[in-house]
Order: sequence, then C-alpha cells, then structure tokens
Amino acid sequence: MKNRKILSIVLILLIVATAIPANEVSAVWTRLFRRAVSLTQKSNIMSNIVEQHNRDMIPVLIEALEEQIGSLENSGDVTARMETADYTKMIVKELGRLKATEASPYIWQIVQASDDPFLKGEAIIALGKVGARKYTNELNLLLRNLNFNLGDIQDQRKNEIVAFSLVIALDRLKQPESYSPLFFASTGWYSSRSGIRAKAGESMLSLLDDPTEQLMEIMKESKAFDIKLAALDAGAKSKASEEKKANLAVLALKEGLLASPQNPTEKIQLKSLRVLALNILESSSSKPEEAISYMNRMLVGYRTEKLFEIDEMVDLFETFGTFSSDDSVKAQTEFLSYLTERKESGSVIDLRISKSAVIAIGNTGNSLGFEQLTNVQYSESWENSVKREAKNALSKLK
Amino acid sequence: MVGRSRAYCSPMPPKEIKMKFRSFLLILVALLFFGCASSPEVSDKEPIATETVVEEVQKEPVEIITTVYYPVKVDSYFGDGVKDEYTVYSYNEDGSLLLKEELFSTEDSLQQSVVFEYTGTESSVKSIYDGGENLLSYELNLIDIDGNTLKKEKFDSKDVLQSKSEYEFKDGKKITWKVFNETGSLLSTTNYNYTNDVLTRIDSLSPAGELEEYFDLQYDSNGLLLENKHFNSEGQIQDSRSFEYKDGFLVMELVNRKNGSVLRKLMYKNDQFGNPVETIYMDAGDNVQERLITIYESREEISYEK
Repeated sequence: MKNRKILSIVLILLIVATAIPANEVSAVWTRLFRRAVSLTQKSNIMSNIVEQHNRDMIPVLIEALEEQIGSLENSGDVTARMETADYTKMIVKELGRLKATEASPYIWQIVQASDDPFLKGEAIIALGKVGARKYTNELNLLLRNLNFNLGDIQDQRKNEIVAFSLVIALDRLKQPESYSPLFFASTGWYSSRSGIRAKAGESMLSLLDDPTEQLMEIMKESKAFDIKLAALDAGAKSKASEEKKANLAVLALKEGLLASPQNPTEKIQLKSLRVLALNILESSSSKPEEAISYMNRMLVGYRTEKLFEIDEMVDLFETFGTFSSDDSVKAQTEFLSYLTERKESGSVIDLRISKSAVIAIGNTGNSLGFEQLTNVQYSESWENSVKREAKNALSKLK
Repeated sequence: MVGRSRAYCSPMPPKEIKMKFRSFLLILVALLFFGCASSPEVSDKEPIATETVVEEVQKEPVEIITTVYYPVKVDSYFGDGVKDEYTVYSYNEDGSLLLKEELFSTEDSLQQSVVFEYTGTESSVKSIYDGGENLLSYELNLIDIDGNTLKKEKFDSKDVLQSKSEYEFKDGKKITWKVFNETGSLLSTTNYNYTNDVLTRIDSLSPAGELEEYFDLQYDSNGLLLENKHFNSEGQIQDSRSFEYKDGFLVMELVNRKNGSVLRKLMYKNDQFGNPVETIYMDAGDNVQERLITIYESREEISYEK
C-alpha cells in the first residue's frame, strides 16, 4: 500500500491579489498613464488599469475622469467623439464597480456634460453604485422630466436609455423622495422593450415599505384616472399596513365617485378604480367608518340614476358585508327596504342585486338587519330563492 | 504491509507556510499556497512500526493528495448590505482550468464575460466580452512549462496591439516585468529582488533604466509579509501596506498614506482551510465600502513524492 499524505493547498484567484505584494502593478500602470499623451495611449493603458479592478487605481481613475470633463464637448469628429465616449465610459464604469464614493462629483459632471445617452447612462448608474445620495434630487428631476416625454420624438430611444439608468441608480440610492418619479416612470410612456416601467415598479416596492403618503398625494394631485388607479394598485402591492391600505382605498373610492368620466375609457378607468378600492376594503382587516359614507353614495346613486353596473353593485355588497357597524347596516337595510318596496310595487329587480344585498346584511351579523330581512323572508313578492337567502341571512344575525 | 498515515490540513505552523506555484494551473492571476505539516501524523490504528515497513515505504513513491480550493462565485455587496453584482467562475470538468468568468448585475443580466482558451500548455487566450457578447479586447499569453506567463499581448477587438508585458523567471521566481506600448517601445521595467529566496525589494525603472520608484518588503521570522513600503526614486515614502495574520492566515491589511495614517482597510474572514470567504473593504473610519462573499469548490489532485 502506498503511503499517503494529504496536503491542503489553498488556491485563490483574483480576490486576494492584494494579499501578495502586487501594488507595484498599480504603481506602474499609474505612472504609465500619467505619461501617456494621446487618447489612444491613454485608452490602451486604461484598459490595463480597469482590468486590475483594484482600489489603488481610484486616484488615477478620478484623475483621468477629471481630464475628460472639459474635453467631452471638444472631441472633434464623430469617430473621435465615440472614442472619447468609450474611453470615458470605461473609467466611469470602473469607478462605479469600485464603489468609489469620492469620485461622485466628477461622475456627476460627466452626467451633466455628456450628450451621449450611453455615457450619460453609465455615469448615472455609477452614481448609484458609489452611493452618491447627495445627487438624489438632481437624478429625481432628470427622471421626472423624462417621464413627461416633452422631448422630440426621435430622441425617445435615447431618453429611454437615460431613464433606465436613472431607475437603476435611484433604486440603488433608495431615497423616499424618489418614489414619485419612479411611480410615474412605472406608468410612463416608455416602451415595454425598454424595461423601464417594470423595473421602476420593482424599485418602488423596495424603496418604501409604506408609500401611502406619497400615493395619496399622487392620487389627489393627478387628474388622470389611470394614474389614480395605478397609485391604488401600487398601494395594494406595497408592504404598508392594512390600515394604511384601507385609508388609501377610501380616498380612491372618494375620487372614483367625485369624478365625472368624459368618455368610455374614463368610465372604465373610474369603475376599475372603485372596484379595486372596494376589493381592498373587503379583504382588509381594517374597516374605516369613513368608507361607509362613500359606499352609501353608491347605493344612492344606484337608486336614483342606476349609475353603477350590476357587477359593481355586487362588489359593493360583498364589501358592505364585511362592515358590521350600525351605520353600515342601516345603509344596507334602507336600500333593501327600497328594493322590497319596488318589488312589491311590481318592478323587476335584478336577482343578483337583491340576493347580494340580503347576503351582505346577513354577513354583517348585526341584528339591525332583522326587520328588513324578515320582511323579505315573508314577502309575497320576492322570489323563493331570495326568501331562502333572507332566511339564511337571518340565521347569521346575533 | 505498509501503515497508512494521513496529515490533515489544520491551521499550519507559521514556519511551514510556503508559497508555491503549480504548473497545472496556467491561468492564475495570483496563487497563494499554504502547505501543511511536512511530517504526517501517524494514525492511532495503524502505526508504522517495523524497519521493514520503513524500507518498503522508501521504495515506493508517496502518494500526495492535494486539495485545491477554487472560487466558483463571488458576490459583491454594498456597504449597507444590499447585494450588488456577482461573478461566476466556470472551470473544466475536473476544475483545473478556469474557462470563464461572468459578471452579472443585481438583475442577473450579464455585464461582462472573460473567456479563457488554452492551446496545450504553452499558450492561452483571454478574451473579454461585454454584456452583449461583443468582443472588447483579448490577450495572448505565452506560458512556460512551469505555468509561468512569459508574455502577455493585449489587443483590441480590431486586432490592434494595445500593450505588451514580458516576464522573466529564474528558479521559478519572477525576476523581471517589462511593459511595452502599442508600437513595441519599452515603457517600464520592474525588477524583483530576492534575499534567501524571499522577495524583499521591487524596483521600477524608466525605459532608460533609471530608478523611478521602489518597494521594500519586510517579513516576520516565520516568513509572513508584514509590510510593503512604496518609495519614490529619492527614497521618500509614498504609501505602505501592513498585514496582520491569525494562525498563519491573513486577516487584515492596512493601506497607509505617506504620513502613516490609515487610508483604508481590508479585512479577511477565512474558513478553516484559510480560504478568504469574506473580504471587507473599509475606509479609515471603518465604514464598509464593499463586502465580497466567496464560495469555493474543491478538487483533489494526486501526485507522487519521489
């Protein structure tokens, strides 16, 4: 048998290059860079510097970037400009990868000075990576302006490149004030291919656990119904408390009732807004009393002008059934009384409405519903199926 | 019968830590080898007892099983703990050759890939691609029989030479590094000087051979590097690095300014085998700038001691 020894050899690539005396490499490349004259020479050496991926190189990277700030506008023809942009991009990207916070003022100057969307975008991403929070407001403003899409149509692709970079940077910087521009980016004009809307939507979720305040502001200030709906949707998906989500839903319901649609699209948007608000209120453990007055407005609106479609009314009753307060049940019994009167006077009442109204009162478990449910159960006008629902509902009352 | 003995790699006595270089790994940027105790521990169950056995052992080659650890993934985290980019390393089947390094963003999109191709054991090509898999540059490497890189020629995507480095080795040790520009003109020469086989000074020279800067390396009695001081040609210190160890493994590195104040720190957390599984980059105020988490895999290599 062979004699065996087991040796353990630790083999380390890259990451412990610093553990061996390798800083002469940094020193040599730094020295050579400082002696380079032409852009080609600098670029050739810079590619070696970047390959080191070493924090020792941060000073020379900053030095190189500072040199570029003034020369971006005077780069000559298209080819020269492209070479300059590529070279600058290489520097900016590496500073970002090295998380070189001290480089942020220079990187910001590149953002301001560059017209090349790729370079500008790389610099914006780098600002996020170096944690340049002091430029959050400036970046928010840039995204806000792009969200408006006021530029020339031929610049849209360029603007999308910059906007995507802004979303990535703001996602990294994670400042609450970025929530609003990110929200509008998530609902903005950008193409699906750009990925901006999806990424902005993701970023919003991780930016703030409770964005209710920001979303309420958006909902109040925005006149566009699709934005109000998106704000409510964002609130529903957020990590905010049940109470906060319910409060946002109440506001959305209010907005959905106060506004008047000007066209079929707006009508659908408003309906969606109300239905989503009702669904949130139904599933929430928080039952704000304020919601009842708006829900009652829907009952009144239905009675007087048939303002709402049947499916929406069904949603309304499902929500009403989870609100067991006296005010809630009073509103519901009043409506059921109206339905019974109409039924007894020979009107045709949609079965889905009548059954939903009866079931909802039963679901509240509140004894205030007793009288009206009993009327239904013993009414000679109501269909048997409605009477059966009334009997079931009565059995649930306390 | 021969008694079987095993020496497991535990934290090694500092005196016996050695740096080695292995020819089977052609593509390494840096190697750090920690050897184990040279005398194997004797097994309780199967002691080596007789003279006959000893004689037999001497006749047969000793099989050495070497456990090689190699990184397969490095995750980078921002100072606040949020995950940033990550790098995935792919190897050939037995894990002996690095084939690809892929850098991914937090969103898992490919940012850059580095592909290594080998021609026998004499040369390799290292190609760098962007996230869209467009070639950015490539490097032709000439390698000697011991796995030392003798020449690196860096080209851009249009096959235009960007720079060239040449290296000379003596007795397995690097003694010279020369850098040439795109036209082949010498830009710099770096000489590596050894005292008793230990690197003690690095001189960096101008193309004319004049000293421009140099590094002095100080070791402790166990051969562990304690300090690396960087001087200009006039002997004025420019900056320095100092190193701290625990059980023979590097745990802290300080990068100091010329006045001696700390510029930044690197803290290493090692696993039981000495692999740095966590590297923390901090500024002088101990604010974390970046944290790297490295995952390793291992393979065993068998060789024979003559």
